[in-house]
Amino acid sequence: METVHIDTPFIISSVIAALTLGVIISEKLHRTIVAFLGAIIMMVAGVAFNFFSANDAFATVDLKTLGLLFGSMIMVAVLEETGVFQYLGILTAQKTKGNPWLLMVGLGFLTFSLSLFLNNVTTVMLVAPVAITIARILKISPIPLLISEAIMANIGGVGTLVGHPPNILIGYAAHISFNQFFIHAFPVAFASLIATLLMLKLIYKKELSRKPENIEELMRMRPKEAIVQPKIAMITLPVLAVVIILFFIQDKIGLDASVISLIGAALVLFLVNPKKDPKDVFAKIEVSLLLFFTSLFVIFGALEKTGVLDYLAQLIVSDAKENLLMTSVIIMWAGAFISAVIDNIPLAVAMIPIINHLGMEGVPTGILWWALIFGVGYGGHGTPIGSAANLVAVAQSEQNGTPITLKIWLKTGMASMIICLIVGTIALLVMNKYIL
Amino acid sequence: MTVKNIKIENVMRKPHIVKDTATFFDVVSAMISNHTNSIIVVDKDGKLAGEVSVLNLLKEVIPPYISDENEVMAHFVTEDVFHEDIEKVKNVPVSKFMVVDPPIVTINDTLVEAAIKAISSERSRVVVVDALNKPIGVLTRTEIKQVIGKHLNAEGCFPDY
Repeated sequence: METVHIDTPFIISSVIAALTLGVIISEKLHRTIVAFLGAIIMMVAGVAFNFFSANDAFATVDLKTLGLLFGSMIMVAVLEETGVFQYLGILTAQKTKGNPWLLMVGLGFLTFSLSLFLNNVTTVMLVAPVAITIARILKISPIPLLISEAIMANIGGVGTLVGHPPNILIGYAAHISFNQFFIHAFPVAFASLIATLLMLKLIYKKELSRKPENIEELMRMRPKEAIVQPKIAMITLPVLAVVIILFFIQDKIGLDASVISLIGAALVLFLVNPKKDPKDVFAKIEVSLLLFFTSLFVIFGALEKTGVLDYLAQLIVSDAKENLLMTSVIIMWAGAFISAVIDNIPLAVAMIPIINHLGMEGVPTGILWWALIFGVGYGGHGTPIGSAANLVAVAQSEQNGTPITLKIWLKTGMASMIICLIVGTIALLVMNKYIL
Repeated sequence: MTVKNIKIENVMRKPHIVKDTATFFDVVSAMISNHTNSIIVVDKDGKLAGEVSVLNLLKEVIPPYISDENEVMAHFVTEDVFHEDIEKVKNVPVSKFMVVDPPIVTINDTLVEAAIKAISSERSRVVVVDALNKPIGVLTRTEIKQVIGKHLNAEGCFPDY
């Protein structure tokens, strides 16, 4: 690789990116607005100093990532109104007959499973009230259930390409197909789920051994009454099933994951109500998140063009070559602790070109990608601010008058994060043997 | 008085008032004893501080995790849980759930202005205040409906103001 020259474009793009990311991390201003402004400033500076044209900027925007997110958002927006999530939650709870430990396991598995394919935040937003309502009926503490659901949502998100926005970014950059992602990440996520549940059982031994009351009230609930839009559910669920199947056979049919996601979105909109203006569905699309991604693509695209990321990659390339496994473990653990306190999407966007450059320098990057995936994924439940799903769980606990305090969260979330990272480290040790 | 000469001061009703130190329980008690669905809140100087309707009471009782995101779960909330939620809020100060900037008019404003304020604020009552911003009356849906009915010579309207 050529030596990087620290010239004016290098400095200007670094300053713009550093300022933008610094303000985003401080959380004093909304991240999307800051990122958007940062991207525009980068584009203007790029033209003024002739290092980054408008064409360059637009070329950096990964439409596949945006397409996959957009399609997924539409399917979830339609599905979440049907009551299916709540139906599954109540059904699961009834199977446990109100036993607090089994309730945690059941709802934990449910949240984990849903989060493999659906948005983490939506999953927690819809399943957590089920946990609270049932906990209140049974007169048990909802806190272990809520924390468990948020953590399981994060862990589930690690398990598939579409489970978590950073996975989509990393998966595309590393050319990891849905199947490859599933084969490598799902077993690790599942092992993390089991380990975390056992840990939660220890931490909440007292709460989980409390005898529930009013079990008959729980058993009297009719889960089907939660499905308020049965016709839409009957349409959306099969479409979702088809989409998941297509994800699994994507290699055979040669369809990109983004196209599969958009197929699902188009089918849902067409089959549910082709005559109605879909503005109500579109109102739920997280345009803010899509714009945030787009802005980050532009900012880091400029850093790549000016050689900043090359420079950063060169700082670690020799260490990476000497001890690939240690480098991957460091990336995972450091990525997790950083993600626990700051947004993991910019971290993923920043690390992707660095790892790509390491690859160009002859460093085998296979294991590094997995390290990054596990790191940014598991860091999400280290602190209450590590993930939007955590914030939802905390907010709902406060609304219920049983707040999950910072102390409670750190005790549980950090312990779970460390356990998951230990599982991840073991996975990296195994992967190191056969992944290049 | 002719229909065309009806003014705000002719149709407004007496406001039912609590102080801003009142609790949820005080507000509910005041609404029930005064047979009204809204209460005006005043500060220590008697000036308008806010307004509470029955809707505000319901919003305070029902947790947002059910009302905002998950109306479906409302179907499964038991009477015991509802009772607990009511008990939880009975000592909440009125300042926490009142509307702090209710639509207001003075007696020099027109009924049309009052109607527009009710529409734009999506609240069914408008507080009438004096020059010192002290509440002197309330215009509710009933009064505005009566005025409309008077103009149309509808049967059953209140006697002349």
